[in-house]
Amino acid sequence: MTDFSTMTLETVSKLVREQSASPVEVAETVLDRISSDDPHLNTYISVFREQALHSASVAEREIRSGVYRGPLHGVPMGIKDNLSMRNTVTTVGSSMHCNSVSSVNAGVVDKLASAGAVILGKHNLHEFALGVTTENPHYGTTFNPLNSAKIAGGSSGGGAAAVASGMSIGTIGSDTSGSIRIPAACCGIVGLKPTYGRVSRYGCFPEAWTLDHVGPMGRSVADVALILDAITGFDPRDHGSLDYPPTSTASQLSSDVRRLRIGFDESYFFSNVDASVADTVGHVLRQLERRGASVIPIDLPELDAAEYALTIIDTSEASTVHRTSLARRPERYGEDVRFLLECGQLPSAIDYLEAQQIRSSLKWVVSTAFDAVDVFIGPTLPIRVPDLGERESLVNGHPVDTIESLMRIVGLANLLGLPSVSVPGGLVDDMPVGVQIVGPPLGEQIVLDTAFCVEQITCGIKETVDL
Amino acid sequence: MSQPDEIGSNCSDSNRAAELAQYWESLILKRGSHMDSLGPDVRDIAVGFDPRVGGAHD
Repeated sequence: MTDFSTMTLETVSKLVREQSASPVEVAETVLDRISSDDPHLNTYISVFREQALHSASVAEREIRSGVYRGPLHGVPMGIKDNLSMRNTVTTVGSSMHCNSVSSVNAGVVDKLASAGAVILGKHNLHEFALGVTTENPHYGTTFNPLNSAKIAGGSSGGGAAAVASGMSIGTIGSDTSGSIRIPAACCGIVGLKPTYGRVSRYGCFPEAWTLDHVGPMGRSVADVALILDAITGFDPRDHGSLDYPPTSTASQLSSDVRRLRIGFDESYFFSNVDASVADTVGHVLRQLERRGASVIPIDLPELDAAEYALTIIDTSEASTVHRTSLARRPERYGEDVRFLLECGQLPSAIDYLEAQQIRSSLKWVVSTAFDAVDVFIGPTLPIRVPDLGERESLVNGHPVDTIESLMRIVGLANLLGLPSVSVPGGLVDDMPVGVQIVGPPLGEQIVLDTAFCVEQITCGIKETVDL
Repeated sequence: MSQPDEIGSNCSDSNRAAELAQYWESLILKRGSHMDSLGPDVRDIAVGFDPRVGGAHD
């Protein structure tokens, strides 16, 4: 029996379209892998075996009869368990929601259904998506499939680990302060946070409404592009939704970087970065230059304020979402999440509004910079993939706060709503190093094109992962 | 902006109060001097957010 679970979405999709692979057979292969491996990795909170096989058989009949819905048709995928799916429980990673049955589909779930995707189940996440390690006190820790002593990252850690280990062909995550890109970097896969408003957040449990994004995760840049094209588009049910047609990035994917102008802001992206991580990203930049890209030094000192503004906005909005629940049932929250929500009660209204003003100011600074460069490139994480339970990491011999470090560089794209992808750029101590590419608003194509070139430079480290 | 010694003053758990004060103190340090250079063009922003434009969403 062919092991479809180790294939890229692009390959599975092609086999299904050509009717060389049966969607039912593909789904069974991946579901069997979930049965055998998920007890060790804990990537799913719920698995819909019967429902998934039924969807796969419907897809199979449709394709046989000449009805082909597109590249996700008959492809088995997972979704993060903060996304509503009709008649299923959405736990949001919290014990308080262990019986919360959704009556509607999230906007992105509707899109997947229209595209004919087979939804396998819902992935584990950091409690309420309010953390970056997926050490969940209610549903257990998700382990990194590359090294079970390491974090999978978060908050979309279950999805990243499932994709990296063959338990999902692709998945949907959410990203408020790096929650797609951090686990993608930790698990050696590709994760894209699109432009704010590109993908509907309707039916996605909110964390911080002006920072929340929904986006794709996959084994390759092409996989992520295929998923993105299926889930973008205007949704009037999401007040932040942009009224633009769906993207068509996959068909236009190009690794030609000959006229690409890469912004290199050493101060923001490379300060206090582990030397081995910086070397890995530096190697990628040199290879991009060899292929014709220009690396342009640029200094934006104002970006130093980004972490402050993001923290004020993120924690204030999250604490607003949880205000009543936290007051009534504080004991139902995990220790780290409760502390975060209490921190979010500290800023005054003036602090919050000043943070929004900083954000607005930084938006102008960066949009002006995009006149001179096409993308910014830096590491996704300034540190090596941490061990589980690690709260202090070493950067070139100096101790740093692990959690703050994980979010430090990725948060800028959330603050400014910019598209940003993490793509594997190499290995340090047999663990992946993510390269982060940030583009201008609606610049998903150039971000993915650049990532596509990086993937070719590194030959896709997914091939080194022992699935 | 609240001062660190005010933070946690209403908290009955002294350890938690100290943790919150420490958090706030370290956050203030990250604020830097950027606010000093904010021009009047961003003073009237609304809370809504649209990445395509410099101002309010609505």
